[in-house]
Amino acid sequence: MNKVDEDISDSQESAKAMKILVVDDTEANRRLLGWMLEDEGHTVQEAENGELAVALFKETNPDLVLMDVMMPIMDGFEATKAIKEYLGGKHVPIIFLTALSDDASLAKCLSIGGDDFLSKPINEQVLQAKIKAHSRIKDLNEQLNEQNAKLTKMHQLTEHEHKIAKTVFEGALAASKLDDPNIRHYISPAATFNGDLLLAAYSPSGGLYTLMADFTGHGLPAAIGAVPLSQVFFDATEQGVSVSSIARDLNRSLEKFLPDDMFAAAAIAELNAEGTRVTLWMGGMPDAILTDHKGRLKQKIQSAHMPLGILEDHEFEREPFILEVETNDRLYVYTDGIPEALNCNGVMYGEERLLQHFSSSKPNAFNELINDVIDYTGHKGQIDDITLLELTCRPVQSDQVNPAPTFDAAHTLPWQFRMTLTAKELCQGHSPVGQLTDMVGNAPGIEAHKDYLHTILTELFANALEHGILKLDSDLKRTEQGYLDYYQQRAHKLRSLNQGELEINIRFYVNDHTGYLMIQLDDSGPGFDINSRNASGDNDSFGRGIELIESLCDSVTYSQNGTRVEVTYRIDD
Amino acid sequence: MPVESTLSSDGKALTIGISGRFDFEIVQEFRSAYAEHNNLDYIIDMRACEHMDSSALGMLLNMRKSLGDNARISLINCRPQIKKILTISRFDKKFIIE
Repeated sequence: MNKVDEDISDSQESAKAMKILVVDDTEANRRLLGWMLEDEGHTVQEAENGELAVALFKETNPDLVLMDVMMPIMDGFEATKAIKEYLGGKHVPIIFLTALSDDASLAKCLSIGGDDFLSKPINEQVLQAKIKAHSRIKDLNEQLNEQNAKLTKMHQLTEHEHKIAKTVFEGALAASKLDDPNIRHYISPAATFNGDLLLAAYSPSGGLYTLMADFTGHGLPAAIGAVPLSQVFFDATEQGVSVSSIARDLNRSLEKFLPDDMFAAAAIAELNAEGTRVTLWMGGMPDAILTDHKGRLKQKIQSAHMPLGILEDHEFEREPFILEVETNDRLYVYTDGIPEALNCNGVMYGEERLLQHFSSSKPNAFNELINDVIDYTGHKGQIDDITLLELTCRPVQSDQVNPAPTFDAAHTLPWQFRMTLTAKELCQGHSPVGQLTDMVGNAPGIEAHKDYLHTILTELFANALEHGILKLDSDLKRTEQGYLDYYQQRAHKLRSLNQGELEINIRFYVNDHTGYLMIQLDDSGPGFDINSRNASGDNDSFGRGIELIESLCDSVTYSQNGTRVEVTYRIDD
Repeated sequence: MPVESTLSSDGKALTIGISGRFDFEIVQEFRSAYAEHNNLDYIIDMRACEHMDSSALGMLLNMRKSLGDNARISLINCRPQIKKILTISRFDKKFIIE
């Protein structure tokens, strides 16, 4: 400790310099007290009666008041009451200076709000000691108030944060399709926030995905993981990716976002649109149960993997189970909250008791199991989140078919579109089909036809480029190796292309309440003999493009010695 | 990865998942996905496949030729527009299409 610090700590030993209000109707008394206090480094203000004291107090906010009792106009008791009222809850010590010595008077000093008293004549040592003591009390009081204010603020903040968090969770889970008729579920969190997560979504091919996840712990910390998990799940299911890829995506996301000691046991299931197959990935979950349509156990499925969020991406194992199921088979998936539920003696519910619900034909095992678990735990209170899912295997009635806006012939205007591609653009190898489809697909009434339009444009473009401009020979494609050679040649010829042009014209018109897209491609190639075109056989791995175009379009015409193709596609209303 | 192949836990079925566009751009990857695996159930999972063209049809026929007429090859989870392409090309004669 250096010299400066010692000085500071010394001065902290004596009373901190304070602003002190001295109230006394005798000037000599005021002066005497003033000297004593100023000697100790305090600042002194004086008032000669109660009324002036209150006014001065409000004006200067002193740290401590020395108050005489008997004064004209307003006595010390009145003034103290007024000051304490003015202060509200804030603490500024008021010490009475009194010549009265009877117990009743002294008691009154304290009962009306005074903090202490000093008997006249004033002893300087006692005065200084009392001032120091009250200075400490005042400091403690201020600290307490400060901490109280902080606590109140923190509490409000936490409540506010919980409200926000709840909204976020509800938002994250809102897209879930748990009301699908193939699903029954029971969710019972142990705290406000659920560490279990159950989501459902449809796939673009009409199947139904479900995700059950059980985070380590419960309450808010466990629930935090639900946000990234649901985000990844809904993104992946919208794209229709496989169960094993979803598992991998979820693992990658959790591994990245969660602290090391936090992870999630999970079961990801997909029922295909026909309801005939369940693909199931399970990591760290209790055994799933597959029953027949009567509810009798067919198969127990053990988790084959580690929970999500532990393994790094390159270590991750994504092999799923594929269950071929029969109509109305039922799959039960649940979190460990069920087998580990405790009764009043602290004994676990256990797997054996759980399996009894599936040992004989029971039409309503779902409700019986839930009721049995609730009875078992009695009033002991739930210690972990409980989630149960029943998935019935039958065709999925997905609401996925979102009707594209229908075509309204009467209000659709004709338009025309042209794109010219020279060797410079073509040799870069990018197909214009995606861009063309997006642009044309945005025109009124075309959206619903985008996929077929994509197919038609792909095939037309491939033919014009590969046979017209690059002059590749389909005969190459007759063998598997030749097929590879064909596309290698394509890449090679395309890279070194230095002349050639391909023009795409698309025209939309309405005729007799029907819309038509006329698509025309002109290439700068040598053309071909239009009459020599043969249909391909079932086994030929080439020549199928034209067949596709012909079945999707109303008409297909070749002209200009085979350098022009024109197709018409009908847009019905 | 546009082509991902996964062996089932019992080692009897090979699932080849195709995502995005199924066309000549993935001709090599698609071929190597089944090339080293014999006598399995082959499942081509089309759930994440948005478009396929005639070159993909050719690739499927090459797969059929290479694995032989007795191999069980299924195309599953096809979107409607892809199912239509497969139907137009009468692929239901050579493949199991769900």
